[in-house]
Amino acid sequence: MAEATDGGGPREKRVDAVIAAYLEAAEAGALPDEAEWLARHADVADELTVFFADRRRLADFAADLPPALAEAPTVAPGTAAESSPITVRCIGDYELLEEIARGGMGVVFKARQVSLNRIVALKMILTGQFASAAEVQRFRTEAEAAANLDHPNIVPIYEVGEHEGQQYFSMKLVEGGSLAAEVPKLVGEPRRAAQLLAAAARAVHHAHQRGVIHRDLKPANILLDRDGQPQITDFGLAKRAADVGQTHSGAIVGTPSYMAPEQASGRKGAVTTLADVYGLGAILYELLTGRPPFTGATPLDVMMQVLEKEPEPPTKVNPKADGDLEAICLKCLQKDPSRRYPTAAALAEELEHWLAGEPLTARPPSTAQLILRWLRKNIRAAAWVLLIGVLCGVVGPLGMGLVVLQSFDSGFSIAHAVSPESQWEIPWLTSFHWSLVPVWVVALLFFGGPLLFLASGWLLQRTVRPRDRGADVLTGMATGAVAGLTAYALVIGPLYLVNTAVLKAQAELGDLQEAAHIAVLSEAGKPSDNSVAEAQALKIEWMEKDLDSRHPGLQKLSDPYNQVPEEFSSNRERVQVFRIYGGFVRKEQRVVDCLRVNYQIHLMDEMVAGVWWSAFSTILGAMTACIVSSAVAGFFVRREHRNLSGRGLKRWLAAMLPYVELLLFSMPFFLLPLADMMLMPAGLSPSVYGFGVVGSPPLALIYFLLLVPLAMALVGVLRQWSGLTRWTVYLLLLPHILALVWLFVLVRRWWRAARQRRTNPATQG
Amino acid sequence: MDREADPREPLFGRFRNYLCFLARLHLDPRLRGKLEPSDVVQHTLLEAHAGRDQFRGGGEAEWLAWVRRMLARNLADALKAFTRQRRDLARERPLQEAVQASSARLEAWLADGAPGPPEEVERRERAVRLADALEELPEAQREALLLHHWHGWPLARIAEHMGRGPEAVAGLLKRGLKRLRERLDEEG
Repeated sequence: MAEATDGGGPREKRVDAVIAAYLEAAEAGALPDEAEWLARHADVADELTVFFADRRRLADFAADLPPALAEAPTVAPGTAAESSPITVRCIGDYELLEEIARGGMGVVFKARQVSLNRIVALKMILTGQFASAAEVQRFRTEAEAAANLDHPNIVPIYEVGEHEGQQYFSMKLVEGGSLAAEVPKLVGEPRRAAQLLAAAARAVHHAHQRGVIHRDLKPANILLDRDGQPQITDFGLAKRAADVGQTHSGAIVGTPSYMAPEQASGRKGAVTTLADVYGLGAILYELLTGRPPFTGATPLDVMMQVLEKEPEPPTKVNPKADGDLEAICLKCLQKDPSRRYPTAAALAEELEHWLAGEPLTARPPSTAQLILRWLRKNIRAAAWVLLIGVLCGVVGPLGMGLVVLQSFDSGFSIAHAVSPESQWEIPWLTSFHWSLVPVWVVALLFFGGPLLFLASGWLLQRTVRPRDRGADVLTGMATGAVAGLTAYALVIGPLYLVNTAVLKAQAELGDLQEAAHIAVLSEAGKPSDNSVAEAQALKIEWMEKDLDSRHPGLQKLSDPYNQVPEEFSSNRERVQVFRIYGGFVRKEQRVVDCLRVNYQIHLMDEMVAGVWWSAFSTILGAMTACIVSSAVAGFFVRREHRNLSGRGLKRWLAAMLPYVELLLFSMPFFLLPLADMMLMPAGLSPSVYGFGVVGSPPLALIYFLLLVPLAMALVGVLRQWSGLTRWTVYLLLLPHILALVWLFVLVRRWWRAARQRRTNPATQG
Repeated sequence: MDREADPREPLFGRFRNYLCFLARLHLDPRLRGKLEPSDVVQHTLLEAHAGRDQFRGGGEAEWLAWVRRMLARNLADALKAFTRQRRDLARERPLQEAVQASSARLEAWLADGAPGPPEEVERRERAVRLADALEELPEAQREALLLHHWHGWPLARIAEHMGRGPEAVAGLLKRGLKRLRERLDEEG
């Protein structure tokens, strides 16, 4: 670009020099005549003309843009000189000596009160802060109320006045500087900090008793006199300033870092003396840690934190900070005013207790309290999580449940055919013919359930609206846990309990049917050789399988067959005995007795296995639901946050990345049961069909480990440890690494077995 | 987005340059490069967008006045944050002065010590056009113009600040003015 290189040809240089000379002459004060300059520099007259015209044109336009203000501050408009503040000025009876401080409301000068010849501090309020005469009046009333405070730790106000429309007041000059400057030193002196704050709290209490609320307590407003005693200043003034600021711009003016939440929320009438207790707590926080409770890039940031976030515990910011002072500080900083110290005096007493080494009333909240408070605050979110969780837990596995129930039907019909008087411990299960449920209903539920799980993320996003990733993970996990527990308690648990028992009963009933068949054949006098042969074959089979030793009843039978036992240890034994008995002895009555037996399926016998299975399916279901719903909810949450950089696909990827990462971690989690199941037919998995997880203790251990990150996520989110929440997600890796190792072991075992079969075909028979 | 729902939406884009100009005007030139006015403007517009429900004014002028106040506040905060970050500021006296001067100026601006945006539509249009044209100038020309015409710095001081000779600054002014006029003419 041309302007990058200064000047151009020699002619241009000449033009620039002339213009520079012209401008300098203009600055010197003698407004030069344009015509004269044109005449004097005729050689560049054309360029000069253009320049003058352009200047006029801009001047026309520039009238519409505001001028920059004078360089010096506006406290004394008109008298300001460039970049040097007021030199000698008088405000009423006061002669300004030097500027001491500058704040949001005005400027503080060291001044001499001429009539009394004393040195005072003079604070001038910027006129523009007030919109009307009525507000000026209110300011004066307030300042006068503060002027009535008489306490050794409150800076006395001498006079409130007005000079040329500017409000001012004079007060005692405190020369030791403010607490703000002492903070770095006091961080290492907790006893001194506590003493200072106790004295300040007593002074604040004095003001409260006289109806004056400070509203802007911060280290800068606590001055230190020569003896190092605190002197509180700006009493009752901040109140007006904040109110006025609000009416002006609809926002809150003040010092958000030290502002109580009820004050930051701007609700009128909500600010009480307890806001000052908060302010004192905020000062204590800074004395413990060296920084205010909340900091942020903009006041809006800080204000949002004040309203929403719990302050980081001081001991976390400064590990050397005292734990008891931390408890006192955090009690002052409670969001709910009623949970703070009831009065500033109570705070002073507590600090004095601490100084004396006496027990305190404040203690940090326990985790249980945290959970309770969180629940109170998020009762709506918790209700939604519960609702969606229960819905998913009931509807999700219902389809699968129906399929299982339908498979029972065959078992039930056999039972009914063989033994009409069969009794079941859960009669309602058998009284309904599940096969009658239309296929489309089953299919809808079967596929709709998982879809509902997927949609739960979306539902959560619409209802709970998690604000950040931590909340989003917690919401997903909590919903998953509720869904898993519901599914266990209402659907999966009972179903598997019954299923386990029914599968066994079906086997027994099959035996019974077979025995009946043999018995009927024998009774009919049909080829008895056949039945004898069948029974003999059975007998051989039993002997091969060494069944006799396992069933004492059979052992008795393998002897002379006339010794039929009268009592049996189990239904199965009874059935097996009658199979043989029917074949060999043909005692009809006995067979009929057998068939008429009041067959009882012992569900309770299978309780243990059922409970195991259900517990594992709960964990599986809960974790799956957690991962899926948090991933889906997370996607919506991230998409809603429009401050992600990039656009289109890039932004979409940025939104999805943490969840893709999460899903990648959880892949083995899904693959593991699948692999287990696939290996089962090959007889390689140590598991029995349907009990894969129970059958493999290492797998069980792995799944239990998954509960650890769940608990950690809960604690992390509640205590707002973002690091912990993040690590929790990474911790999910651990079980998966273990699972992969286990998978590897299984595959290797399968590979060895296959090789052994190949090299040694004899064992194949 | 539904235009009916928020008629002020297009204002954000239209007044961006104008607000940038205001921000430049009120930050001391010595802070240039330390604090980026356009960032603060961007932040302010976002804030104005987020808080648009709070704005209960009527017309454009009120909206602009509202945003302007927010901008002044944000600039003041940015200055404070800057001071906090630079604990060594005390050693850099000119910078410290610049910060003080800027905050005093902003204070006055916030306190309505300076005129706000023009009330009449026509003049406001002209102001916005000028701000747009200024934003389009090359950096050095805009800086020179701003310092000379709005801050009223003497030529020698501008030259020192920009690290160029007075003639070079005069050249910048000349070319800047020319370009500005061309821009305004072609639009008008």
